[in-house]
Amino acid sequence: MRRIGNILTLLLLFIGGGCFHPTPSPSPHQEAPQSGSLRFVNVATTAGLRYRWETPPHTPLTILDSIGNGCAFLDYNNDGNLDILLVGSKLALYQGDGKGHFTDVTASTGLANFTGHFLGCAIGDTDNDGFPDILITGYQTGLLLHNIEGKRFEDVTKKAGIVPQEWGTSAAFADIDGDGKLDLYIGNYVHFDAHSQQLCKTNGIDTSCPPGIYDGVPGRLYRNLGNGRFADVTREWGLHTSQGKTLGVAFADFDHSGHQSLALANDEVPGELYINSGHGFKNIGATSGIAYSNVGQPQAGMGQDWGDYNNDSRLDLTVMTFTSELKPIYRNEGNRLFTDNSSQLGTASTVIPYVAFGVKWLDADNDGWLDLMITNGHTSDNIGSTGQAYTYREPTLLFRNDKGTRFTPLSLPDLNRPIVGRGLAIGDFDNDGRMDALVVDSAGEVILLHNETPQVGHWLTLRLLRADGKRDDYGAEAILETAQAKLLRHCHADGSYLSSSDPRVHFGLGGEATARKITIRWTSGKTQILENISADRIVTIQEGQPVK
Amino acid sequence: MRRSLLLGGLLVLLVLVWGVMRSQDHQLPKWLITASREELVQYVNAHPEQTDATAELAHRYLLAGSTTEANSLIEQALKVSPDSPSALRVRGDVQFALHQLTIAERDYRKSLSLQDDTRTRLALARTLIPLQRYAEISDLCAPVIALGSSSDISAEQRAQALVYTAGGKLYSPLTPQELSTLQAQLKEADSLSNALPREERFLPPYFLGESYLRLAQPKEAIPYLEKSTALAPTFAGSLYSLSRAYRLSGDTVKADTTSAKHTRLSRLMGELEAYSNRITQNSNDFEAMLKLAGTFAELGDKAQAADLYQRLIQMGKYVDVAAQKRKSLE
Repeated sequence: MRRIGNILTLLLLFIGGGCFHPTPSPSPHQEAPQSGSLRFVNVATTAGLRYRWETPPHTPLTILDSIGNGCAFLDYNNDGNLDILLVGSKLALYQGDGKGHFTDVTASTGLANFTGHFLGCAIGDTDNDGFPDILITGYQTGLLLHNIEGKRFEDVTKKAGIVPQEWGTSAAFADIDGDGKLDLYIGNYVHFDAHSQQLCKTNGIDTSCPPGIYDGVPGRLYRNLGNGRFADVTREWGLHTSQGKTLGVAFADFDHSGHQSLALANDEVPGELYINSGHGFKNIGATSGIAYSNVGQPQAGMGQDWGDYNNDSRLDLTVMTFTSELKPIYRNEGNRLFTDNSSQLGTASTVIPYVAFGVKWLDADNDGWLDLMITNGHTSDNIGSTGQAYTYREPTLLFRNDKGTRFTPLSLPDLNRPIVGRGLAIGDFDNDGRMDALVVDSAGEVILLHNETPQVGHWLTLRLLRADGKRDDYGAEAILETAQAKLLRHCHADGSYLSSSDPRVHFGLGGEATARKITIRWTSGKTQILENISADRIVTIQEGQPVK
Repeated sequence: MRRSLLLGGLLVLLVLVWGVMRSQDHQLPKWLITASREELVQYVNAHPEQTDATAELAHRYLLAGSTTEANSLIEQALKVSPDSPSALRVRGDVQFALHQLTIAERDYRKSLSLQDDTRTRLALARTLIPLQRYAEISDLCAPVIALGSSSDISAEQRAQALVYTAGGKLYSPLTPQELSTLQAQLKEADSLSNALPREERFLPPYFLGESYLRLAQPKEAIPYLEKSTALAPTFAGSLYSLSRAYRLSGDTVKADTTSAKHTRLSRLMGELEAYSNRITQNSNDFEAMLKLAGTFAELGDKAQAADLYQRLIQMGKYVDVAAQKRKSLE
């Protein structure tokens, strides 16, 4: 077997080869992080959240035990205030008052009736009635919960034609065919059951196995037929070619084609980027540059998110990965080409040691540049006993974006606390124009990070509703111009890991108190232009209608 | 006068003792370096207390791919002299070969704390590359680079110091000026690349290609990436970057061809890893062994493939399939 040794030694020489998950430790030479003026405080308890995720009592954990859970910011009763959904073996729904307080409405909305091996969620209004429905993913399960006028939820999974997935992970809603109805993609991970190998050796110690030893399971695409029915169109639309092992799912019209394309972050197999022709998908992952690590090897794709970090009016893509791998920030070069720019942006040395799952772009200080938040936590609960310089619990990271050219890691006490970080959602739960965050600690209590940054710029939040005035127009883009800047943001709830975020479109405006021009590209194909919109408020815009 | 003689005598004595220590610890007698492995085996058997000779023999075994023998010998040497810098360095080499990077680092660092040595510095720097600790790599290599092209270091060592440092810096933010300096270092390393170990010769052109891609100059990157691809055909990174360089420079035909080659190679390397992992986890995973043999065959390594098929036949597993596939290799 010497040949293998030689090849692997060669590969080990390079960053991100990631072949055998070697044993790096955080560099003592890392740039000392500064907090700057950013401030996030965990207010979960005072806000009224009481939820704790428990890992199974045995150790070591298997790959299934360590997959983690997701969470969501949503406005289930359409009152303009964000509510919170927490996904575990039991679901929990908290109604927000828009002032920072939450009331447990799990029982009254009927969600207490559901138990199962639930993992993640996606939020979308599947029947265009103005009330967002809930899709719950899980291991050998899955639920589509119809929202009945913001009062309670009804299980319509079977009626809708959605079947339990073998191992459903992240999911996302998007209108793939332009018929005005939200379709659904559910990612799937690997084939794993009681007969599968449960544990693997790391330095002679039993730990969870890597996904490489299991067969992948491709995800499923469901087309919304209306009348509460969905059809599995995975094969018809060309997504049956996916290798599976998918952990991150995110739609976006990244090439301004007018169609929602689909990025899949896959674990230890090449990432996939499916461009949408309006009647089918084609994978251009390899040619686009997002399929592999910088050294041409598949990487352990986890969560991901689209966002225009350098304000060039093109959506870029960041993908989270395993320890010892870069966490690429794929800059959209146009012409369906991407380049990983994470080394030049300065994130590499900080993020490499961590196992990163949740990720979201957010403008935390309203300076007009998207910052980056990442949740981390190892997959092996006993990693510390394998002789490797890692810990099971890892800190949450926040990087400040310096005008699209550098990202600086920040040190914030409530983020530094090591956790088993998994799901991450962002949203402005108190409607103060500062983006907050919701974090899953898979071996601890829910974390609600309130953005208390004292000096922030002006801001503007847009709720983009379709022409019928009912549903958020997932996939719509808004280009906001001030005297100083031109910013592209898009309406989306998907991305990150097993989670769903506030779909309202948030702009940080820095010192500008007025948006001179806002161009909205609706998914209907129509364009709408608004002028001289004053800042520091939330504005609802209905397609084709003047601003109220 | 008597005092001067006494001081002079002490000085001579110190030099002599120092010289003996040097020869014992890290300045191997020339004959040991040039001796055949068999001669070394005889010498080590006769003089087990000679740590340097044992370490040299362990090093020879390691170079020959006999990691187990090397490991056994070096542990034996360290029992005799736990603080022998050369033995610690060789154990670091063994651990590196076994991918036990943390242990390798510990041994190299202990060796360096006892005695500064260019070989140990470079070995530690090499170990830190997969650990992505580039600032430390730079610190380790800086004194070696500062020696210039002096006779104190070999061309191989200078080339390694240059390429390890420059390659590592590519993963941090760089100004155009810094990139220019880095390219100059890499070009010097490239000019010395014949002195590099064979498996490292592709590094200077690979990193040069990467540096031009970083500068958004894909056309300039192409010749370097073509060179590195030729030097290391089983390194997927070169093919991947080459396909990107072609694509970014508008040559979509070459880009598609190279991309297809890369996808195939990446798949094969992934299979190699996956099946090897499965066998490591379960030595009775004969299906993985069969598939691994198939991967070796597809990679063109008929000897490895035939060996695996033969082992399956001997173990009575997948006998017909293995026999048929082994025959098809002939």
